[in-house]
Amino acid sequence: MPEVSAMDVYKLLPKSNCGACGCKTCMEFATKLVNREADPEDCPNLDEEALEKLRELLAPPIREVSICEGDRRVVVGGDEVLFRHELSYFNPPPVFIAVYDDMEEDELREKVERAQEFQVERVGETLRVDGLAVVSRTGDPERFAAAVETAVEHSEDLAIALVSQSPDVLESGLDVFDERPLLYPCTEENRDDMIELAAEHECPLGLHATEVEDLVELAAHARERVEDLLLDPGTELGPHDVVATTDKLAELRKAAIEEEFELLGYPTLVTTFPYRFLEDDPVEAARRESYLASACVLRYADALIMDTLEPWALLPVLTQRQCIYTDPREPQEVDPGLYKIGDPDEHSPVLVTTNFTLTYHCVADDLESADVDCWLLVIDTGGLAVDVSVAGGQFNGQAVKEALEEFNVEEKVNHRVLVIPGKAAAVKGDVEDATGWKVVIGTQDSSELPEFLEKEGLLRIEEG
Amino acid sequence: MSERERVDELLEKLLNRVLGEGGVEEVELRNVSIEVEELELDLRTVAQALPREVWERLVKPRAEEARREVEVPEYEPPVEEYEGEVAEVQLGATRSEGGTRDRVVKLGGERAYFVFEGPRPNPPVVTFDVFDTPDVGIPGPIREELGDVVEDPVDWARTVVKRYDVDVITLHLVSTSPKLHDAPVEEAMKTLEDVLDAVKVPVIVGGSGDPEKDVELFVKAAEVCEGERVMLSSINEDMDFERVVDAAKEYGHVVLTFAPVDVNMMKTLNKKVLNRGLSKEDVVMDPTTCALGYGIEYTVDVMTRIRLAALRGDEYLQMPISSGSTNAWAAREAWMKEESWGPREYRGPLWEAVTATTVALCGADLLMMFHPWAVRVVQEALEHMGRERKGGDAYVTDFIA
Repeated sequence: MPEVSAMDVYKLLPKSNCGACGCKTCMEFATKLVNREADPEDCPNLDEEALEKLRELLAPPIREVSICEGDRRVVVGGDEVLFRHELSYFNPPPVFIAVYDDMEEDELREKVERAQEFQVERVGETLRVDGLAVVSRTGDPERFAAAVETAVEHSEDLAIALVSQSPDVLESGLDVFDERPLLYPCTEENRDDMIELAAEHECPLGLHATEVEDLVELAAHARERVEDLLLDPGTELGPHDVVATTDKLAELRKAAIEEEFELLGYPTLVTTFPYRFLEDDPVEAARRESYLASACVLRYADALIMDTLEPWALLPVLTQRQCIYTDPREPQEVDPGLYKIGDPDEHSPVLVTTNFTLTYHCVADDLESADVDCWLLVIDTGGLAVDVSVAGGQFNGQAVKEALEEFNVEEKVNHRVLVIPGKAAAVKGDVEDATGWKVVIGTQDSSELPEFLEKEGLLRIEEG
Repeated sequence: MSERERVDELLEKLLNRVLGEGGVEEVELRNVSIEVEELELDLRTVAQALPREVWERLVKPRAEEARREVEVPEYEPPVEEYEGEVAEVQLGATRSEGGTRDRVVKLGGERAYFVFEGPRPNPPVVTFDVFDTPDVGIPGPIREELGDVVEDPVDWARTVVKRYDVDVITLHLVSTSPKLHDAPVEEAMKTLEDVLDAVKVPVIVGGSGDPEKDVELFVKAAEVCEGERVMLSSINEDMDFERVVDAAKEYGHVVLTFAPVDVNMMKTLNKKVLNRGLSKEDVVMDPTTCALGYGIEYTVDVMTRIRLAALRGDEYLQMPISSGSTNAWAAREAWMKEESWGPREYRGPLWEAVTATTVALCGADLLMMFHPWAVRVVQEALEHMGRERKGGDAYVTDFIA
């Protein structure tokens, strides 16, 4: 739970209940601030000093760090709980795709363009990658600068990370792109020069040490000169990768949040791209990356550098991110109701599904993309999916009956036929008994529905 | 000497004396004298005014030295002492214990949440799913991988134990479902006995999900498997579960309790089961596994809350957690042919492995799984939950110049 109470926040507000922020009272505004549902700037009656105090009070234990500017800007970190059920996680971790300065220019440009264009649609959202990490493999400042130039020139809104152990190489990259890219890695060996470089260019700096104690020491030094830090406790590579890496990240996060160990109160950085060089088989490399990155998205990775652009490998990672970073305070449900798909009439079939957001979107998308005209009766299962709500008893005859009545389905169609999901086959009898309608068991997956409806002659149902 | 050079020389002299060995009490500057105590020398301000060459030679090394003296607070790993612990449950029984298994597995026993707080006494165990009929709808990628053995449960069980070295198998007697083949319980018992003969690892007996038939099935299976310490999977509030609990108690088996993603329902059922005479060492719980992309975040929250409650002393939640990670295959991303998502033979197993690993990291102790690749990867990875944290094979710095 958030450590700061609404009362502490209220004390710093004007207490005038003026309503300018959209809340009726200052206390309501204070509660929203604590729950991260409003910003201090929403109050027009705070002077700079009061604002500053408020920001300080509300600052999360994990610093919020922004990388790059303008369209390329991404924000990482900002979490204040160890477990998402305690509040919510904030700022889904951006995925940076690695490009290398030893690539041929064509090859590099092609990968940059693929990263820029990468997208997968899922549940009404477009999943994308967020950045490019230009990695020095040659150690040659000129080649690095050329690679940065290609990366920047052929991307539009991707954040940029400059990756080399040599401050000179990074500086040559900064000559090309100096809009607050992430500089990485600052290690025990290059520490002072890297800190100096990040300070001089006001860039966020990624620290790398494989032992937590060493990371603490690096952070102590870096913090003297650089405000925006990221922590990489050394992504483990090998069969122990998932357990050892997530465990180190958990250690950092628990120390920062529960022990208030401030030097670890920065967002974390995970690098899976080395698998490209460790594994001979590119499929195996992508699998390992995907597996490790997906686990780290659950356990405290705030930014990732990956190599693969294979959709099958990125899909689990981006899906995990989409799930873990939904706000548990907001139910994942759509309003129950009778939804029109296409242009249905009194002969169109009535399909039943649940009001879990994802279920609804899958079914609706599948029917729409196949140009089916039908009625979609969304019943209230408390936002649970079909299989879960059948097992849990929310999807039953009574629930379907109530929905039929509430949304006047009898007046919309002449027939009395319901198509229920294949996964709800167990409640067929119950639904028939409760509603008196004829129940047809549909398909296991809604992607098979359009074909099923056609084959069964259900696209147009005559009376009786 | 130009004006600028004279200023530089002067500055250098001044700095040398200020920064020099032994310290100086007073610096005489033409006709002005300044007490050193009054002279606040901000190196950063000076640096901006200094010529680079003087900065490099004189100030920078000292500035670095000053930075090296940064105070580094002492760090202690945030290891929490928990008052509660998870019960340890044994599946299977050897000959000396009254069964016929060659080996047994132990689940649970945790006294900490994260590995750095204490490795798991028993890392998560994978159990391979075997169905008594292929008509249940086996996802394409799995059928392709397993081949014809899916036609015969005995062959299937024997093959996966031999080929993939799994520690437990789950025999799902789904053919008994009135909605599938409505096979008689006696027929299912024959399959169960054949499988117990064919493999020597512990066995989990799965029902069909029919609340009435499952009770008959489990009660009979408890008798048939006397001494083998199987797990009856699973019982819930919608069935006459007391009869199953009684049978498990009489014949020395383990029951799996099931509740639909709800901590309180899970707790209520466990309480009823314990009050009926089973001990925590005889119960495993399944708080529902929603697949990656299909509500996995609910499972993450529920398992996390259950495990934390157990470690903080809630005795009705101090049982090992089981996960039907096979549910990953309900996700269309796992099985559907969709060009824009890439080949499903890579996607499917990965989907299952990520689902299983996610729940294991949150607390799951037993993972019911389906695809050989996913099984292998997950076993290999999660074994490390039972050990001190390992490191050092390779790091990112080995791959960047």
